[in-house]
Amino acid sequence: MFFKTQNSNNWIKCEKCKTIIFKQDLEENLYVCTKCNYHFVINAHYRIKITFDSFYELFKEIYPKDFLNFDDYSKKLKEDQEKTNLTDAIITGYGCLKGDINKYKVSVGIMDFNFRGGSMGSVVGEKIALISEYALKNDTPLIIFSSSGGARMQEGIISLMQMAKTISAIKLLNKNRIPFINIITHPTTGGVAASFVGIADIILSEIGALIGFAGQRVIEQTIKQKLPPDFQTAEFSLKYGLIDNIVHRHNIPNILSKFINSFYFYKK
Amino acid sequence: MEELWDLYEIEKFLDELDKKILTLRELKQKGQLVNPQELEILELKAQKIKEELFNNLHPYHRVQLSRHPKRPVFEDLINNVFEDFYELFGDRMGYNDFSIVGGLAKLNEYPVFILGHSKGKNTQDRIKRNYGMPNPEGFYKAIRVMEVANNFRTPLITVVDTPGAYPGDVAEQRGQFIAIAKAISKLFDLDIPVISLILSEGGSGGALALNVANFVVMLENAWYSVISPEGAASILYRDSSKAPLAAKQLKITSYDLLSLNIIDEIIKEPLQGAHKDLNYTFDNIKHTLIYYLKKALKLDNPKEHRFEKYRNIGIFDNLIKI
Ligand SMILES: [Zn+2]
Repeated sequence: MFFKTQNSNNWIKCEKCKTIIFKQDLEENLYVCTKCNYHFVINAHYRIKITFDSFYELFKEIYPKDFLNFDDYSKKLKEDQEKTNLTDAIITGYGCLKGDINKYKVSVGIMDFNFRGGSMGSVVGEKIALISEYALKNDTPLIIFSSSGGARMQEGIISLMQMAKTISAIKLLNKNRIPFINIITHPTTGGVAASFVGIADIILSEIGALIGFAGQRVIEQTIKQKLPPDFQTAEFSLKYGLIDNIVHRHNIPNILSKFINSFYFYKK
Repeated sequence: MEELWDLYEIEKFLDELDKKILTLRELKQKGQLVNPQELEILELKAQKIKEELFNNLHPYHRVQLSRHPKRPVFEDLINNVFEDFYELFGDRMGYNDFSIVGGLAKLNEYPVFILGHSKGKNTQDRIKRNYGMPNPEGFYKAIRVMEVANNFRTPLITVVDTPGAYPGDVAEQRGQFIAIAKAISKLFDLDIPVISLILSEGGSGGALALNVANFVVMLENAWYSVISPEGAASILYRDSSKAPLAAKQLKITSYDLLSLNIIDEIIKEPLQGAHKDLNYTFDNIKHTLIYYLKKALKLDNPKEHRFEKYRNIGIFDNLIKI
């Protein structure tokens, strides 16, 4: 059958409903399944392209380091740097949201799950601290797109400490009434969920994104029960009041602009 | 992989040896010892084995010591390091999580609020306290104690001893990730000095939720890690029995953490672990806590001090500064 020739790059299979979609259609739909609304995981560069009219990267000079000589961490860092064209699991910078007629400036962090599972080590921690300080200095709101399996094991206790570090950075914004919006993208778990994400002023989640602290396999082993299929999804989190709303990828710039405009409307 | 000598087997063997030595000594005192050389040889032998093995512990041996059934828990500290404890229960939101204990106490002449993970002393108590693994309500209870301490302008001493936050379905429903983030966040709000003692197990975010402090001290055989060695082994090597290897890689011992500047001081334990000489252990804990309490009380702005301290944790390259 024609559809089975998946190797030709023009066709992509939806991971959820298994429909084969013409790649161009999927791209026009921002990598959301045209049939079932499944949100494909997208990389940070693409996220910038579909969310901002203009974007300037900051703090690109911060590079990861294998300071514990952990297995093949050095090698894996290099591989991921080549694969993703990123230095580590986050891009930070500032820009204007797509379609914002006022062109208000926002400070931004975008995590990328393709780089070491979006895990937070020293670089992610430092760049979130730096972009928060930048937001404070420039009196702009901060927007972070989270996507992470948690803290980065290969940096040991130092990565656990990044939870405290990023929380302290957000506290500085709170103190000065600089708003912070976190958009949860699939998946956001462990030490990233339980740090800066967990104290965001507004937590929005893309449709279907996974959010939680503990891994599902560990939970199932602990409670000796199967978990329901919707466990830890955005929809589950909304039901239990853990997040503020669920967003469709198409509407993100527009919804963010509403909030950003409310901040700038009264700003002196 | 290297073979580890069996800590519990060796302990059993040494206990029997010690018992034998004790019997011989009693005989000697009574003047009934037939062969005095036998006692000398045994004493030397016991000392040699202890020093050779216990001065060269593998990181995973320390993990085992931290989980030893006779290991002192927070409750023992409440009774032997602190005095005059008055407990504050509830999270004021419908729950009282027994895995977290907090309240007012005294450390010598100093009134302090103490707050810690509570593992329990016997099976029944351990179950009631969920083996020291808090649910969200535990963290909200902790936040309450932090707030009370702050309003009474009284320093807070936290005691960390948890395998981790409880990985349960209801815990997730109630927002475990939010509860942990809020507890960490609250510790940055406090104007009072905060000192944290890592007593035995420092399991990931559930430990950090009580650990953001001006000064952190740690028992020699405690561990503190981003993930448990078993958890890391099952992710890294798809085999949780390789936990000793993971324990070594992750750098989780008090000596590792001191060299990484994550803790301020190691509290020495008896050669065979804290439970072998409780009074010695309690004394060391008490003296160290008093030392750091006095030091923390001299800080101009403990809150600012914590912000600066955690802002600067991280190891990376900055290509501009090189
Ligand atoms: Zn689909």
